[in-house]
Amino acid sequence: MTDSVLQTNGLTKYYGKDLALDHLDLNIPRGCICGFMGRNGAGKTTAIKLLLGLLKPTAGSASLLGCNSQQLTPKIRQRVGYVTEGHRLIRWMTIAQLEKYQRAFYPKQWDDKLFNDMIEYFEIPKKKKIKHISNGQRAQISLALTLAPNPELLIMDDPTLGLDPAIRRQFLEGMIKLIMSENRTILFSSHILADVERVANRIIVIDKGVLRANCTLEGFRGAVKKINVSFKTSVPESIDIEGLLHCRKDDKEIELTLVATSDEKIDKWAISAGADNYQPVKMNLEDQFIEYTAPKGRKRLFQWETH
Amino acid sequence: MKFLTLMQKEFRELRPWILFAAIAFLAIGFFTITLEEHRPGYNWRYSGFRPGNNVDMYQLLATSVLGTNGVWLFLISIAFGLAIGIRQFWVPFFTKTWAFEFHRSVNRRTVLTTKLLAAIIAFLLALGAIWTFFYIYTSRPDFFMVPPSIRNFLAGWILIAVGFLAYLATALTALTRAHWYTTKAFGLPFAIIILSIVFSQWKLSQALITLIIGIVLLLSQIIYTFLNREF
Repeated sequence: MTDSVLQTNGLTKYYGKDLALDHLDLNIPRGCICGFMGRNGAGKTTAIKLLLGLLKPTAGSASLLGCNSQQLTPKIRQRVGYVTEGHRLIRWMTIAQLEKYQRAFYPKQWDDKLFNDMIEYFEIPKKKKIKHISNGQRAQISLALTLAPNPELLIMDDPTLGLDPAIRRQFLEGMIKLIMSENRTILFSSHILADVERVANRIIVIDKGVLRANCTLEGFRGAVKKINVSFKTSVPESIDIEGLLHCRKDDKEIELTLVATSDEKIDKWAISAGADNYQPVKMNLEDQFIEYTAPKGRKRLFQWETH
Repeated sequence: MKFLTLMQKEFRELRPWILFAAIAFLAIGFFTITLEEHRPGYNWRYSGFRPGNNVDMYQLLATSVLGTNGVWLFLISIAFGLAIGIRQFWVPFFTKTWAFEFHRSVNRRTVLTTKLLAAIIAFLLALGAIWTFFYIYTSRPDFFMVPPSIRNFLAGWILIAVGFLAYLATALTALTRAHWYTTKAFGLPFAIIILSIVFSQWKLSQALITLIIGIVLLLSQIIYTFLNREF
């Protein structure tokens, strides 16, 4: 199925004079797991809140499951699961009370077995109050509460924040497989790009409120490249290659970050620039993301990194 | 079912404040009534009254056998209004739980209705019921030489409504997005203005009308803000 479950058209949000989101145009097809990536303050939470109708856009529009986000009906909300940033739950409730509370809003679709299995798996006693459990446990409860109503679309705002690595992995792989088996759609923002790489099949990159990428994971992985070019003599003054994102010069070496530059073009440029040889640098998604969103002309984010 | 669930949640959140207000008012009320009962010459309270005098609502309260309780009712009612206003509308901002409260299969109007309804019932339970009990208790024959009048009783209800006004003012202050130095605190000074007008009224009906106008104005502002603001 290729119909779209989530759409935005020129979605823009200002907080006073500060631009948080700038003409965001998104279209997320049904059945994909979409990683929503961006640095702190990039506008991820703002975009998610706009999608859910918790914020009002300054311009543009958004729709979820074909319904305008500003007019989401209880029936549409029933089909959309939302894991809030920081897993904010009602603190005075016990897990059992919270389960009862949440179940009342999804009487027909609530999956008791799923909820109980998850709580059992996470080994959290139901008698415990939310205020007495750790952040990680709260994240697990939050996820169980969101998954138990079997949402058609699941939106998670940094869901793995505060989870230890083992639980994080189980959380992502187990739960997402479960949801994917029924052709559901997931949009999740995360700072942990290894998580995104592990589970997402599509990614959205947003930087300072501007959409920088909206493509398949493979597409992004193939597009952002880094090469180390060495020269026998000194490096050329100017670098003229298509798709150049960043360039760091050494005495006899240049490190280039390129976007959507084919291998043929790199070859051609290396010959014309008189390069001795060049080597592709292995990058994971995190490296690619950092390079892709690093402001031009700024020093490396991690100065002590060597390669 | 959903409405009842929301109501249950609201009541559970207000429960400590309901109990606190009810117990405080009950204890202070009994204490003052017992003092009055055993104090000879309590009729001094009425010595300033002359036939044909106009008596405003506050004088009426302060000079009745329920008088001392009236003053306490006023103070507790205001404090109770502020407390439950903070509990219902400020705390979700501090704990950042508005998004969790909203993203479910109910609309905002229902969420607000349950909050307001729970607050009204809380006032009735914590203060209204006890005030009514005190009135019935002190109106028994031979309990007081001059039993409290129905006007005293109704004036007490006006004080309970004043507490509700304070509650609405607190709610509006929490919800409005204005800066503190502009109109953020509009609700509270507005409530104080209404309060002073209420206490300067000679007739209970005038006090009641003033209160209703104040409540309607605050309520309309709260409804508009709650349904339209960003969370």
